[in-house]
Amino acid sequence: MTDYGMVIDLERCIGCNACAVSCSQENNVSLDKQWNRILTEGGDAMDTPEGSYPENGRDGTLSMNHLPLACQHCDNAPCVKVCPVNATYKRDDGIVEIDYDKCMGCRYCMSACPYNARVFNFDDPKTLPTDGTGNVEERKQGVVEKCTFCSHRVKEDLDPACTVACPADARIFGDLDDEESTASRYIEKYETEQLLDELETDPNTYYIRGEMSPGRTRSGNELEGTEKKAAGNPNGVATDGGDGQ
Amino acid sequence: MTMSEQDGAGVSRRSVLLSAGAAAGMLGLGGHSALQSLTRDETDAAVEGLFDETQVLNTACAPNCRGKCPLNVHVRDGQIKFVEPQMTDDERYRRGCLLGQSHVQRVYSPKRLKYPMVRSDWEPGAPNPGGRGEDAQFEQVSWDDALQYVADEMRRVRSEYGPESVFFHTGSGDNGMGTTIFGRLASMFGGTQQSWSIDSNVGVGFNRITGHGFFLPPTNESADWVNANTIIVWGSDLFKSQFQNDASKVLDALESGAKLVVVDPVYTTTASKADLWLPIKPGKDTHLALAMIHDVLAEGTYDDDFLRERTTAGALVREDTDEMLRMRDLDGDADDDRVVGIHAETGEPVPLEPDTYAAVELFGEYEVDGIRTTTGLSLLEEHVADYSPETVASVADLDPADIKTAAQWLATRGPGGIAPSYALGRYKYGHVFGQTYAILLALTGDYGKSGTIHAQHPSGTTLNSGEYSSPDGAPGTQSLSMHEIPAALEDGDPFPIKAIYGMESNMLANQFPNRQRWHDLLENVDMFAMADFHRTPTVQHADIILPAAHWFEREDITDAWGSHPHISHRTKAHEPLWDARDDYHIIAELADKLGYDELFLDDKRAELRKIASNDDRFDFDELRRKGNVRVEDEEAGIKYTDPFPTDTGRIELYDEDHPVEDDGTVLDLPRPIEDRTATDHDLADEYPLLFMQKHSKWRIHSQWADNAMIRKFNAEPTLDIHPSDAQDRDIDDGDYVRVYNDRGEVVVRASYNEGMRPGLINIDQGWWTDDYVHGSHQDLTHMEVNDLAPTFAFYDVRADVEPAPRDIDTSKYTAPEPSDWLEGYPNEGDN
Repeated sequence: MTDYGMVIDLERCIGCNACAVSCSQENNVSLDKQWNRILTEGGDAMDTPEGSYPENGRDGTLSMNHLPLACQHCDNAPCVKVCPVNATYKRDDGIVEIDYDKCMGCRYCMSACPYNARVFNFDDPKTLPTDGTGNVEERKQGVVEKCTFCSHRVKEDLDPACTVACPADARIFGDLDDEESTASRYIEKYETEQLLDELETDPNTYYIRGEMSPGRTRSGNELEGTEKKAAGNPNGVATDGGDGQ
Repeated sequence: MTMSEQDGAGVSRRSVLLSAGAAAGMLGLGGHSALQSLTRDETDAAVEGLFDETQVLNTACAPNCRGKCPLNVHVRDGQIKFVEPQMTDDERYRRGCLLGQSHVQRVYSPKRLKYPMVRSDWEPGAPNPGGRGEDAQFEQVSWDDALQYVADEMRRVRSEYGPESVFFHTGSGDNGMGTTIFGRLASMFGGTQQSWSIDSNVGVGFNRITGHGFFLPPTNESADWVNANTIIVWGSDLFKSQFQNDASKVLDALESGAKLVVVDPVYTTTASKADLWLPIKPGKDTHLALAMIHDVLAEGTYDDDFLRERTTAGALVREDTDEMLRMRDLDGDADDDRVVGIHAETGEPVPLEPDTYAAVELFGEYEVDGIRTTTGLSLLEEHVADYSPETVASVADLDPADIKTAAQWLATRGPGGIAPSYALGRYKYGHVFGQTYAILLALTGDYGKSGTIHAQHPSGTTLNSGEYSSPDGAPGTQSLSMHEIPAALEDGDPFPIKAIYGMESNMLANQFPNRQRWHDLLENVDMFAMADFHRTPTVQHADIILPAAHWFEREDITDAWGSHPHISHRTKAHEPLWDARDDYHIIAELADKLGYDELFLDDKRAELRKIASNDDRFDFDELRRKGNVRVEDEEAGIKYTDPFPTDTGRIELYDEDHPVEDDGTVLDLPRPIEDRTATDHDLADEYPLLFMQKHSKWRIHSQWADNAMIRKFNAEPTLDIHPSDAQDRDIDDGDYVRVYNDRGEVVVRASYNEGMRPGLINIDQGWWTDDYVHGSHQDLTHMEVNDLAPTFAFYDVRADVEPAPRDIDTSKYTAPEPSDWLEGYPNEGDN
């Protein structure tokens, strides 16, 4: 079996938002919504610390971390349990997905999700260009949506957009059922946590804190263990300098 | 992380999660609370087929972050849909940042310029310069008319004042061939081009010692940074600005055990990753570097082999002339200008050759042929006696033990280095820091090795365009430094500037310091034309507006100065929107109208091929196919392996040229000089706060300021202020405040930030004037420059803050209407 999961090394994460932007572009997320948010563990405003500024160069208590947060793809997903029309479901490969046809917009799932990972299309999506971005179809107004681990890319043996976009190599996507996958090895080797584990949601997303890992050491777009791909598109890159357009 | 912090983390993490709605609120653009209709759509939720309809093309991002990242562009239905980092020839350099991946919203920005336009109250001979600015109205004209106006005015100005009175202005807005092509026309016309008075401070000081540097000096290519054992990031938030695309390189070094030291008055993202953070008082950087020199000498942890082989540490300095003793002073051979040391075993004077180990004494006073001398290193040691870590700690508000730790990590842990940013040079006398850290790294032997670091961005590669920009028969251009342009505009000194054609720049009316002054200066110009793709404040200030193509709408070549070792290609993803044109074709038609009809080929690709033919490191057709080609040898990635380009071929610790700054300070050895950061500065009482303008991750200079994707996260300019400074002034978090000094004012929302050093305030650089509810951060800055390395001192500014006047109109951000960076984009069919 395959059980897709994500390891995010918070020691490597620099809070740059490249993954947040790439997610929104690839998944045609409305400009007033965000599936993948980079929270600051620190002060009230983004990128500010908590604590107090040191005096005489010492004894300050400032601290700040960044926490990229999207759907955790829980094994025991509260959103799946509360959906009255079974629009939200856990796939056999570990991805929690929404059938937008079935979703009737009741938003029980949004209340149930302890990670605040879901957004609701009150209005028609706002995008630039207006025809939308990325490589997915537009979702209609009135449905709930969230991170899909870029299931449309995974289907083509491509890593999720956020993972490819990360300049800090902080995101590692892979098969948690495969003991040899980098994600599995890091979960074994490093101190990792699942957020709000006391709620027993058992997320497929793991965060490394403490010792830094080597991160995602591959440079390609491809899912680990699959054929090398030059672009986030199974058709590859035009090598005619655009003449064939 | 300590145990206590870990214990607390569960609570704060939870509160972070629960507060996520607040973060979402910040993203909100006025969401409605009513549940909309729930009509069902029959579309299959499963996604299929879009990849098959999508073509992927190569291009490159190249604003002046120095990233120059090769990118892939996904094009479908004639529209750009997605941007991703392109695989690089050398795979270690595949990268991109949030900005590169937000070009979709730049291409389709509501602020794109659509048609050529002329200011309604401008006409040749009656320019009405007072009509320029935010309220100016424009009328659409044809390309032919617009360029004819420009050409006619250029010719008139040339005949009335001389060719140099036409200013061919470019900024750092793009790193394609635009500037090269523009330079060819400027050279043929005989106009004026600008040289830089920005970021040229620290590098010039470093150059006095090593012979290298104007902008930041060369440093090893970033793939080598993993081999550094100590990285001292000085005045840079490199994980947020300039270097973030190479963040993995620094992180890999840390993962391998390197120590990260951050010297910064602000607790930044980079500081949050540091093993040691030195929260220095602004303006005390040279003091700190001198204290580190003091400590390395006191502890004896200097690299004596390196000092003997590659520096003038052992070179004798004459007491009578304060110049280095030369062999000609001893043996009578008048041409022998080699410097001299005392051989440690024989006690005899011996010449020091470039890059040749000489077993000379490093310290001491010696009388040679009746001449009293001291070694350069002894003079340095004596000089830094006044800068002990303890003394400097009290001046710079640091802990002396931390200063020593940083110095000893650098000196004793193997190859490493210092990565200063341009911020240090944004203080008036930043070049002295360049001089000082060049010497410090010489003491620790950190030059010319794998793992040594000297700047916060690597050297990268530059395309060799040969003589392309100075064609046969061209009279060539005049050059004025940016800080010299005001006198030319205002007093005609050394010659008047009466016409300006600008491109790839938002400097003149938005980015240059003392903005209002530039608006006044520009009133001396009869014709001001700007080519751009967005309606920047500088474009709005022009008389003639020329809508240019976005980078992705044109074929081009980009090199990677200051970044990575590849040359990249840009494929045209689609035609320029509306009536916009590739800058190349604008310039070529202007050249035609000026009578230079043979200067440019009709076919831009053929022109690019011609330019590229000057560089034998790559083939243009291969570049078009592959997207990017590594052109620099791996060995060239390690810098400072050759003899230093100084008189002695060595790093010259003692500067016998005795440069003198404007306040009389002699810089034979580094001496801290401060302008407005000095606590006893004349303005200190009236304006107690130091004002800086940090480079953020949300913009590169003023680019992306109008980008809808970026504004989603960074909607509004803010003043970062320590809560204690705010509370002293009755300012709450989120209040609108007036930041002011004797030059001007700006109104922004205050944002409490515990990481700001008390006494220091910040508004991120690059916001457009239109984005403020009132004023601009550049209304606070001044144009005073030093003598030795004239550079605008953007951070050497004093100001104060008070609550904003009650009648200030903040509806731009406080009214519920959608924001203007979203509105106005026409629906499909109009493009």
